[in-house]
Amino acid sequence: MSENSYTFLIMLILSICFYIFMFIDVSRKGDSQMGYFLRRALTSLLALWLIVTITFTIMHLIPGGPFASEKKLPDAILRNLEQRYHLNDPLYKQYAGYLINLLQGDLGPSFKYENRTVNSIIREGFPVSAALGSLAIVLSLSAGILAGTVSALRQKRWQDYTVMTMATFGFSIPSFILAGLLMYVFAYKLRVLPSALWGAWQQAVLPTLALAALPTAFIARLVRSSMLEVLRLDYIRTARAKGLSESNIILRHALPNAILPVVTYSGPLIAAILTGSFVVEFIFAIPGLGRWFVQSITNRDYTVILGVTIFYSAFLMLMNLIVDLIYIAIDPRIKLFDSKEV
Amino acid sequence: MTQLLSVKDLKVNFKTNLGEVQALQGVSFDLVMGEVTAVVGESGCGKSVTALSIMKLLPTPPGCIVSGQVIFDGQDLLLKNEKEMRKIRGGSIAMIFQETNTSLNPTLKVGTQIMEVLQNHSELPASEKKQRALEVISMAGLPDPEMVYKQYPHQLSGGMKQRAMIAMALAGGPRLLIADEPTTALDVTIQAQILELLQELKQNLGTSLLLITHDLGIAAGIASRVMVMYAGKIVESGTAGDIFHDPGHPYTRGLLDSIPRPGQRQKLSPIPGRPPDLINPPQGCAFWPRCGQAMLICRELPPQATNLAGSHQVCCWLTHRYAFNNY
Amino acid sequence: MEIKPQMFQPLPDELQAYENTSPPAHGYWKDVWSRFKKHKLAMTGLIIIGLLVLMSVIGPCMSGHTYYDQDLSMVNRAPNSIYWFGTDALGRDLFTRVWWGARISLFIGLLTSVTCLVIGVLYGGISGYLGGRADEIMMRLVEVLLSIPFLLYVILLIILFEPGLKAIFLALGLVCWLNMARIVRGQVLSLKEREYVLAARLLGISKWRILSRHLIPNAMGPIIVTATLLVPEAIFTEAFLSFLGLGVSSPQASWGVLASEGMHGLRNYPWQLFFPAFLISLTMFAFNFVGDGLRDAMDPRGGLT
Repeated sequence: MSENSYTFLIMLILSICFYIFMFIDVSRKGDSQMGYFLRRALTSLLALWLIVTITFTIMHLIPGGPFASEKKLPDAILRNLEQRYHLNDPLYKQYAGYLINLLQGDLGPSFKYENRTVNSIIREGFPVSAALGSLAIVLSLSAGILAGTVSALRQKRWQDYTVMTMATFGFSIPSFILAGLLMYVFAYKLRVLPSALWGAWQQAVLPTLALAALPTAFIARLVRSSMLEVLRLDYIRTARAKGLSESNIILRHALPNAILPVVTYSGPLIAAILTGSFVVEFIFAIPGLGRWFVQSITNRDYTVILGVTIFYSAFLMLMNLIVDLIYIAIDPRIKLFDSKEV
Repeated sequence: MTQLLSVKDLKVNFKTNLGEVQALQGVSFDLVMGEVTAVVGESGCGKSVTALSIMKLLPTPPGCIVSGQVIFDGQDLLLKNEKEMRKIRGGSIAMIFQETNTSLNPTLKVGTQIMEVLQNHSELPASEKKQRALEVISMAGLPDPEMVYKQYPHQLSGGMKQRAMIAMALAGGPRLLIADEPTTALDVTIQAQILELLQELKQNLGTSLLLITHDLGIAAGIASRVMVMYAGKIVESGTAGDIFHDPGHPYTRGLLDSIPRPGQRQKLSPIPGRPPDLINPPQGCAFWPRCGQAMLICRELPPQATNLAGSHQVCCWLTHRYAFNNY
Repeated sequence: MEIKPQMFQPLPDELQAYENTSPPAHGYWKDVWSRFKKHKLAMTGLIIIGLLVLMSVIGPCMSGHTYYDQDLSMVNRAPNSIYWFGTDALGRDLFTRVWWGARISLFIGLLTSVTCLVIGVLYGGISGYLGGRADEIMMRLVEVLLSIPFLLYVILLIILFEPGLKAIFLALGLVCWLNMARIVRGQVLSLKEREYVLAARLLGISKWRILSRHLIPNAMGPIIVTATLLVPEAIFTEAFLSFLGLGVSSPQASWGVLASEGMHGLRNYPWQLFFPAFLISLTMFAFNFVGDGLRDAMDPRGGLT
């Protein structure tokens, strides 16, 4: 197949994807809650298809990539690849085959390890990453919301300055440097916590801290500013005029509205934790998916890189959809207007 | 004639980047039980600040009550602490606000927001509280209380939201209701309905009403006493009749002249200029730069309140005996 | 003062023309600058950035060593009088390498920020200004691209382009303008309907002129803040990519590369991590403070200070 027709095909696919996006308008007004959600889900699916197409394209473009047949590979792997991807078929057949494999949840074999598939790597690594990630998310949400609220309520006092200074620290130190520092201080110098591996709770402390620092700082700043904004709103004055106690006003009236931006942020939060996990898992030698990913980048294990990228993308999109659902559940304003016109 | 509320020489400042704004410069008035008193004036003249100071709801900082007394039921509210004030807010003094769209919490149901008042201020057994909430909803003239109880604010129209606010205010059984521009954000027909409702409530429940408005028409329609504020001071006060038929202050006359009247053919005469900067208020009478009848003394000394007839008080040099000689 | 009858004469006409003295009106940017100057942390940040830039220019020539010369007899030395920041595993002078890295890291940060500024302002400005269907389509594209986890694609793109300075630029430039475009568009939309634009249109001024002379200068505030914060973000991302082995290749050095090299010898030679890590964090601080200071200075409600 010539380069030209191949480029043409890719462009065609991309433009089809693009046009379909045009006609799915997620923000259409007067839409029902379910309709809105379905539309979002459909967009995500199409975005995923776009991603798959892009990755397929990149796989073919990478010099010395998995489909460059002139490359010298161990026979077993070459046979495996040929059998899986029908390398001698025309491109559209390859693309179709790739999609069909994907639909069946098959991400293909590893390019470097004979006896591993991308699926087996994900099965092995993802549970570990998910456990670490959940810990970091719980920590950053609780610590971030608490710190942000305290900071807003004590605006321009020492509590506020302390929290904001710490948040700026958390904001300014890349997670791998923080991981290094934590490891140096607690594992090498003080010798109070283990420096590597996964299993015991002590081994979870440092990676969780390293992973959660940046999102915590971000959430604290977010909650602080939205809290300050909410506290200025009229309904807070109404609540005061009703004679409610300050704690009641904060907990029932201000906080639920002030954390709405945090819910919106949860999508990027999960993404940040995920990318953070690459380096943190690598540094602390945690056998999670992130470390596999980093290793496959170092080894140029293309099929693993691409398979895991698709898996991560799908995972993040699923998470974004769930966040959407949560948002709908929390904020009644974007609920279906039941039989009542407004 | 018993006084429910009596404000004495209230002074309030706001700190800003540009300097201290003297928002209230010695406001004094009495509010008679069971009456409707209106405070009128242009925006920025200190009407809302007065209302918020009575409730001690001024945002502090930047606001600061410098001096004065707010005597409600024989007790000075300014001396009370936060906890005691909480008993009074929403209980014996309730307040409703102008911004109907934003004054209710969007994430809580109307019923929940009314119940909060009852939980704080009502002695009723828990089982009867919901009944009472439904009662105040229908007292506020909302149809289908059960339905409204379960709805979120965004599901109500502007007028219904204001009724929900009123229901919330009534829940605590207030003796004084402060309404800060309660109808400004509403359509004219709904304005009339809300005013009618407020009047009804006053008659049926004996609640006194402090109505804050920039609209003289509304004040004329509902209030028995009217106070005119300008630049942080009360410049004229009296019965509605005094103010509308025999205005004593040039500012009041100016306000009346800027209202169109049916059948009136001549041009409206608005008051020229803008209210003064309250960071550096004019030395004499705050109104003299805009006053058509200003005299030399108006630039020098602030005028004192003078009793004209009955309870009609005017704060203007024109009422001085020397001024009569010149005209 | 005594009250006398003659004080009750009507005010003469010339005194009637009394004007309220309002505070003197400053120019907007002058106001912003004077508020910014009061923001101590932001000023500190600005000074730090100045020093870093200065050191990145003169630092590499100060110690007399080059960033690539290896001295295998002097590997992993602790900071001393010859090697002020010590040496790395190949006996290269860390002091020189750190400031050489500063050059590259700052360059990446600034260039990415400028690239995104240009693309974002053009794209967002045009989208917001045209409005209607064109705006919808252009923003739809941005939304779809934003929903894709961008770091993964930066990684893929860099693998595709072969790691190096060019690849990092291309990849960062391809993904970082999205947010900028959204912010610019929002600003333009909110400014578009103001009277002076209408006035300009009535005067028959062309669309392009309205965009470049009226809309963009007035939308500058949030755009400048975003651009400022893009610099540390790009440096951050570059460091992250270097850690994954996708940064500039040896003997070139960026802070990310140095930190990731320092990571290997962490247990025994902590200074190898310490210096680049400290400088990365210092740069983050400085830019974040400046960004905060600018935000507060341009929008005087709320904020610290």
